[in-house]
Parts: sequence; structure tokens; C-alpha cells
Amino acid sequence: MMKDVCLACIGFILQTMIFLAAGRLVFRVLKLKEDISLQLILGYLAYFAVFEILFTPMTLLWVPLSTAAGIWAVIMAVAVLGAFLCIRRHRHMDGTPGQTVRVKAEAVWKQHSVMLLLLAAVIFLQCLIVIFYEDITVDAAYYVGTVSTSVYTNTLGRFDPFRGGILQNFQARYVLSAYPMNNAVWCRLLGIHPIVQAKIVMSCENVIIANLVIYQIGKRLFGKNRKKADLMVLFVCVLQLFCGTIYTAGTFFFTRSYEGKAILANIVFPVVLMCALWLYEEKEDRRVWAVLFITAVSALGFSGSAIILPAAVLAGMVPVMRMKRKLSGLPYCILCMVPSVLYAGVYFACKLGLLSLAAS
Amino acid sequence: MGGITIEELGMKFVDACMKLYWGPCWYPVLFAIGLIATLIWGRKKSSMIFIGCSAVLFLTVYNPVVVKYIIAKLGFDKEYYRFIWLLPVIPGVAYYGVKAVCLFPKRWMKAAAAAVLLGIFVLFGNPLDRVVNNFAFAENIYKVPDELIQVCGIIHENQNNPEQMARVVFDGTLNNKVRQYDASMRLIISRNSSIYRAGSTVTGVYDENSDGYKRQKALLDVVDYQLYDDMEAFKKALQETRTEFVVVSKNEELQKVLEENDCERIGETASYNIFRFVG
Repeated sequence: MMKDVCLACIGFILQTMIFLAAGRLVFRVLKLKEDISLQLILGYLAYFAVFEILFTPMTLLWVPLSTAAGIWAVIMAVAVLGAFLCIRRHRHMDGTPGQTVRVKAEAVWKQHSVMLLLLAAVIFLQCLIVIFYEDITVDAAYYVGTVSTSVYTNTLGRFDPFRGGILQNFQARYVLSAYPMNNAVWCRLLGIHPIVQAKIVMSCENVIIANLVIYQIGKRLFGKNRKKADLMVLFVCVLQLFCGTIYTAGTFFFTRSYEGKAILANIVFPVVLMCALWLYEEKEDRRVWAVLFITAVSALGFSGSAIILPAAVLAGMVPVMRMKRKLSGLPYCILCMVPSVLYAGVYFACKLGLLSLAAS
Repeated sequence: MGGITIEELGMKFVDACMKLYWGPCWYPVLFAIGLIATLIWGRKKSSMIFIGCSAVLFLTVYNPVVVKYIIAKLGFDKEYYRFIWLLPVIPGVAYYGVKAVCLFPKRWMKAAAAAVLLGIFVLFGNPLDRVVNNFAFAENIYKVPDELIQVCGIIHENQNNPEQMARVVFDGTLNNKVRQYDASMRLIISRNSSIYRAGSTVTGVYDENSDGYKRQKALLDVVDYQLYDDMEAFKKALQETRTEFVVVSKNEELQKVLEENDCERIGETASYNIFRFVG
């Protein structure tokens, strides 16, 4: 058990570093101002967008998990190296050695004051809840079962997670979302137990990202006032804890945070709201659309329910375009709906029997 | 969603779903009050987005006509609650809460206002069961019962060929958990047929005369429902599915019945008996 605890800690640190590295690259490409929380959010979304684009075809082509994990490890190493070079180049171009950690910490403390401790405590409490909570819903039999089955069989989802036999055809509602395979890849690379990876490591990552998204929404709603944004995170935490029916996003957040659906409810849809607020305040809006497009692609990887993302995009972005009296973003808005529409097309083609995705 | 369908409720479906989704929670009312406040005092602020967002949603995916004629066609009845995730009630209420706190000029007043608001949130909400109330502590890092780990150990110790997957009939208390922990178990009882046998069609409808379902039912009748009317069918199902092990909750009568039907007890934990099928 100690080994699993150590591996979970290592896995958590490594995966956070990868998200940060991916975020650094996105920041570099989109020329965004330094913001560590946004960097982590965008890194997380970009990571899963690329993962989805790569792993869905690999799954359908029956690539073994070990090969897929190797390819992904190389990509992650390149991303980390790229991010490292970005940081070095940034410092070199500045002509300064970069702010010391102490100076940065002092600046952060000045902006947040004691609210930072409150924010940290809230996120830590939420992480503790998902770490120690025992979920009894039967859905885990798929979402975690497919991870352990893929690791055991060295395949990408080709075996039935419920019983263990090989599948004749992939199930369209599951196979087009590669999120569980990310857990399988990390289990393969680090030797983490699938339950520990899915229900502890990634659940904590998801909790942290979801809180940062709320923080970003708060920051944009309160004109960059960090303390107010921190308080908003605390309020959201309490509201989520007290909106208890089996359907609410809060229930999914605390009890089923390892499921793609929970990510959709607590990260993807709030990110659309964040993008809407960002669009409201931003003059150069193409960056916002780029972020929204990355979100739309990553959403497919989390859950098939991402086919409802166009409704979220419509509800979030159209009012802002109207408020700004600037409809030039409409083509981008439609473009952000395309991934979901394509996904829905493939899904319904499979459901109607027009397409079958052979697994063996 | 909650057993209700668009076909059954028609135009009232959205309303019924909203009630089911929020239950006894009053946050949508707080959100609505916030929206009214925005309409009165904050027309030029970014919070207008809550108005725009809600308006678009109520015109589209919460519009009973759209739901009845479009969403029904897509077969989204069961998952309709996911559309309600789009309504920014929680961030909205939190935002209005912070705004309310900021109305007070002094720090101590702000702190007191925040505490009062938290109290209101608690009062107007509905605590998450097994999280706020009776927290469901996991027994170990794998979040499965300790006994499941012991059961898997006993099966592996008794396998004739440890290289192959063990073919096991688990009762309903372990069947959905075991493969998360140990994927080398080949389960005989399917999750969906077990849900169907329990009377739910949420995961599918089975042809009750098919050989496959009859086998599943014969096994489920004995291990989950303790119905021993047709033990021949049970034994036949074990043979046809090449079952090696049967794991059931401790029950003297069930133990006796299994032992009389070619199942040899090879181990036990505090609550489970593990049998090898030798038929």
C-alpha cells in the first residue's frame, strides 16, 4: 500500500508538471500574459485535446497500450522540453534573470492576502473528500474497469470492462472518448494501480482544475480582484456540498470526479462561461476562440455528452457577442461547435447501424 | 431522468426535470433574485452574462417545444439533467454572494456577512448524502472492501492455471467492484443482466427466452435472490459458462445448497464464502 501512496504522489506531481508544460506552450503560441492558474487550466485542456486526437484513432486501430504509452511518453517529453526552452527564451529576451520565487510569492500574497490560505484550505479539503470517499455507483465498473482491463490486456479498450471478454465491436458511446485511456497510459508508465490513478490522482487533478476555473471566472467577474475571486471559490465549494440530488454537478464533483461526465459538468461547461467573460473583456478575441476550440476538442475526450457542448457555446458566447455588438466572432463560434457535431455524427451513425467499429 | 420521459410528460417534462434536479434545494431561487438585481442595478456589467446565458438556455434547450420535438427525437430523456448543468446557478449564486459581502465597508462586517451567507447557503441547500452526511470512508487506498482484496487472493491461490483469467460468479455485492481492482477476473454475471433482473430497463431490455439470459437468470436467482427452485439450471449454467469459482455472501442455507450442487468451499472471509465448482 505504501508503494501505491508513493506512486500516487509521484504521478500527481508528474501529471501536474505535464499540464503546466502544456499550458506554457499554449501560452507561448497564443501570446498570453503570465497567469499560473490559467496556464494550468489551458495545459490540462490542451493535453486532453491532443490526447483525444491521437488516442481515438489508435484505439480504433488496435494499437497496444504499451506502444501507445511509449508514443505518448515521447510527446510529453517533447512538450516538457519545449516548455523549458520557452521559459529560458522568455528570460533571455527579457534580459533579466527572472523574478525570484520570493518576489513572486510576495506579489501573490499582496494580491490575495489571507484569502490565499482560505483558498488553499478549501481546495485541500475537497481533495481530501475525493481521496477518502468510497463511491458505490455501478458506473465505475466501466470508467475504472476499462482502465484496469486495458492495463491487464495491454490493449486500448478492446476488452469488455464489465466481464473481461474481448469485444466484437467498440461501444460508440464510450470508445470515442479517450479520457479513461489516459489513466491506462499512466498506469502503464508508472505502475500505479488503476483505481489509485483514476479515483485519487486524476480526481485530485480534476478538483484543482475545477476550482481554478471558478477562480478565473471570479477574477473576470470582479475586475481582477483576487480576494473576491477567492471568496467566490469558497462559496462555490459550499454550494456544491449542499446541492445534493444525484443529478447535480456538485454531486458529480465530490462523488464521481473520476468520470468524464463530472469533468464536463465542472470543468468544461464552466470554462465556456470563463471564455464568455474573457471575450467580454478582451479586444483581441481570436485567442479566446482558440481556447474555446481547444476546450471543445478536449470535451469529446471526457464524455460522449460533449455533444451538448454547442448548446453551452451558444448560451455562453452569443449573449456576449450581442452585448459587445460584435458578431464577427460568429464563424469562430460555429467552428467551436464542429467537433461536437462530428462526434454526434459518428455516434448516431453507429447507433443507427450505419457504422460499426470493430474491436476484434 | 428519474424514470420520467418526454413522451409521458410532454410540455411539463422540463419543469419536472428541474424539480427532480434541484430537489429541496432553493439555489435557483437565489439565482433568480440575483438576476433581477442585475437587471435593476448591473445592466452594464459583465454579470449580464448570467442573464444572456439563462435567456438563451430557456429559449433553446429548456424550451418545452424544442424539448418535445427535437430532444425527444435524439433520445436524450435519461440524460436530460446534463442540460441543466449548463445553467450557471452555482457560479451565479456565488457571484451574487460575494457582491453582497462587498456591500459592507469594514473587514469585520464583510467576514460576518460571509458567515451569514454561508449559513443561508447551508439552510437553503440540501446536504450531499454520504459526503456531508455520513461520510462514506473508503476502507483502503483501492476504495474497494478489504474483503474483496482477500477474496481475490484466495481465488488466485486456488487457481489451476494462474496464467489464465479466473472465471468467477460473484454475487451482486462484489460483482461491479471486482474488475476495477483485479482485471484478471473473468466475470460470468453481466452487470446489465443483473440490473435487468432487478427490474430496471435502464441498461437494456433482454429477451427472457434467450439462452444467454436464461443462464444469467439461473445464476442470479441462486447467488443474489436465494431462489433454489431450479438448481439443475444453475449447475448447467455453471458448466456452460465454464465457471471455476463462486463467491457469495455468507448464508448457511445458500452454503448448504451450493455444497449439494458440486460447489466445494475453499475459503472464507468475514462475510463471504468462496467455492470451487467441481461439476
